[in-house]
Amino acid sequence: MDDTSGKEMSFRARLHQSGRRLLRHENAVVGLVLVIITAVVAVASRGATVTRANFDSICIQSSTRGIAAVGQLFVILTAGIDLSIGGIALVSAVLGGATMTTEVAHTLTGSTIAPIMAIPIMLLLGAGLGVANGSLVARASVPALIATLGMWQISRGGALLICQGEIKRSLPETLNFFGGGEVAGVPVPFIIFISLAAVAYFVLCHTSYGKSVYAAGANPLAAWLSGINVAKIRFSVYVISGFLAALAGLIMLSRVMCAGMNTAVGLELDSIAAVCIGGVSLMGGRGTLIGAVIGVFIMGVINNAVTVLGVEAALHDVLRGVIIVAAVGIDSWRRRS
Amino acid sequence: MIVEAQEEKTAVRVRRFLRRLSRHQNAVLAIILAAIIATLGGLTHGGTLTASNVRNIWIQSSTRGIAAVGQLFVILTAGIDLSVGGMAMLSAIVGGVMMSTESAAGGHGAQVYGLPVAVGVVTMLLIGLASGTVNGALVSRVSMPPLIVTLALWEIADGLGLSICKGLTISHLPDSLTFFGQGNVGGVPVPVIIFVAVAAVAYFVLNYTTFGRAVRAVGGDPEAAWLSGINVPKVRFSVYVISGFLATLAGVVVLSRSMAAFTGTAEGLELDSITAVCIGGVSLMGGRGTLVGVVIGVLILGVINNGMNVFAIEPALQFFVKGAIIIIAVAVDTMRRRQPH
Repeated sequence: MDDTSGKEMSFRARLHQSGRRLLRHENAVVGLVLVIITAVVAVASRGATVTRANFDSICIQSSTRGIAAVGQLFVILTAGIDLSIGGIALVSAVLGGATMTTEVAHTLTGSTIAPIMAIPIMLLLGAGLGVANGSLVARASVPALIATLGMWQISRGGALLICQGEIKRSLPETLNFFGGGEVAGVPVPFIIFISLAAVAYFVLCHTSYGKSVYAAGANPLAAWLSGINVAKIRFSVYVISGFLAALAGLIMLSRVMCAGMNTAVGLELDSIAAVCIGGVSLMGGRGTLIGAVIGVFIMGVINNAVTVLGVEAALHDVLRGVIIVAAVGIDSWRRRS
Repeated sequence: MIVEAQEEKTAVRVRRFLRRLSRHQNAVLAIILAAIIATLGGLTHGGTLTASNVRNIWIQSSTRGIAAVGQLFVILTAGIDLSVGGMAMLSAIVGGVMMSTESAAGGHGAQVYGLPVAVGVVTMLLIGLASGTVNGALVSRVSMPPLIVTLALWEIADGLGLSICKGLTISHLPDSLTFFGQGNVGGVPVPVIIFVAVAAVAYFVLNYTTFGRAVRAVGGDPEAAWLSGINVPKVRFSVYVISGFLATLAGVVVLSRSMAAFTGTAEGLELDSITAVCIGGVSLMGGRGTLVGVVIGVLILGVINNGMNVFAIEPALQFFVKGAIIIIAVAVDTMRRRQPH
């Protein structure tokens, strides 16, 4: 009766078809989840979460998490994992705090180092630790889990050595720009995060390096046979991740203007959770930057909701664990052969 | 020419010796252990070789060892259990809350129940079984990566533990609890007895039962194991239950030794158990490794820890050393096994 083949379909049929095609898009489901969660939270908090101030807060929190998540994304796309992100962020934040603090008695080097010099050192430290991670995983074939777990321990040891258990404060005001400044009303951390995400998107989708990253994760043997230097790719993603971890540490340091052994605790878990929620497969080769970014915001909204709704701080961890299990569980269930 | 021929013969003999040596992994490990003990003994002029210090090492190693045996089962199936420390801590806190007779900070702490020790201990072990069940179900039924599952459960345990104890230390535990951690039977500390018993049972199970063989098979080649009729999901499930149970058993010992529980209880237990297992020559890819190796690994780690304490090495450097140890242990193992790409 209704011959839809080759002829004009009814409006409803066309709507159905495009709806189905949209949902098939990888990030549609995650995006929908973000919208739904935001709506639910807004209602549950009676509008308290839709204020400008709260929105700013979510953006800023999501920025540090997001920067770490971008690094983690690169690593996970190669079927690796980086458990040292929190440790790297910690040690570079502590190093920065210890060298830039104006309380001269507490500095590492006996005199205050200006931010303009200390910041590159922090980032270099992060990249250096990333080099160590990459070498262990790519050259010595140490499983990523162990290599980054060991480096996490080592980074924490380094941080403890540097700060001796103290909290470094009294940092120069200019440092606050990165974490607390605003440009045209937009918080600086957010600007950094978004630009980073844009660069990462471009690299992953439009450069041969990006495609090699996907290839190395999806099928290392095939990638190697196609001439891709899989070891080099595997090495480089850890350097990226380490550098970005240090950047996240810098922003954290600059926001709270102090650094101690409590900085960046749980950052690796947050980044893994965000990436997994965003639909990236831990087996490597699958997942998009946009998905990871959406995952970052979902976590940001949930974390914010938990605070606004007055849930106990300790239960944040429980919630985060449950979310990770739910997100990865759904993903694994879908992929079961 | 005769000299050259003789030299060549030596080289060949050395190589053959080394190859035969690597076949006797555990013997090599035992030698390494002896070497470390001897070195430390020498450096401290016999200080580390006193009866009380040796006893200390054994007691410290027991908690680690109990958890390491559980970790061994999991790693043999190519899995990993990162929730060991968190579960030990959570069970210690729950057990503490159940058995404590006085709330912390004059009533501001957690609600305590003053229940008998037996009830408390059994509850702790049940927590371990429960967490192992959750881990095992998620890994075997939902096919989630063990890394993520146990990491998430670690987080959850951390959060629950903190929430229950409200950041305070739980103490005022009944004296009879000290048996597990501080008691002696025939002069041998109870923790050591528990560890040796657990290790002996594990040795028997791994080497003389079909389950033990199934565990190795599932880790070595899950496909082949499945085709041989082994219920791969069930084996995968059960090793996490074993690990969870043993983690909380370690928690009982820890609680009994310190007679207090807080969020830092059993910290680092997962890392220690994985390190001990890796030192013991167990492959993280599953299927290869022996219980004896793990026991020696536990002792090596115990001796090194003890050495670091004796030399009063600062905590920061201890972190360093621990991180380095696990990396080196695994790097040596993977380089040995590495196939050319």
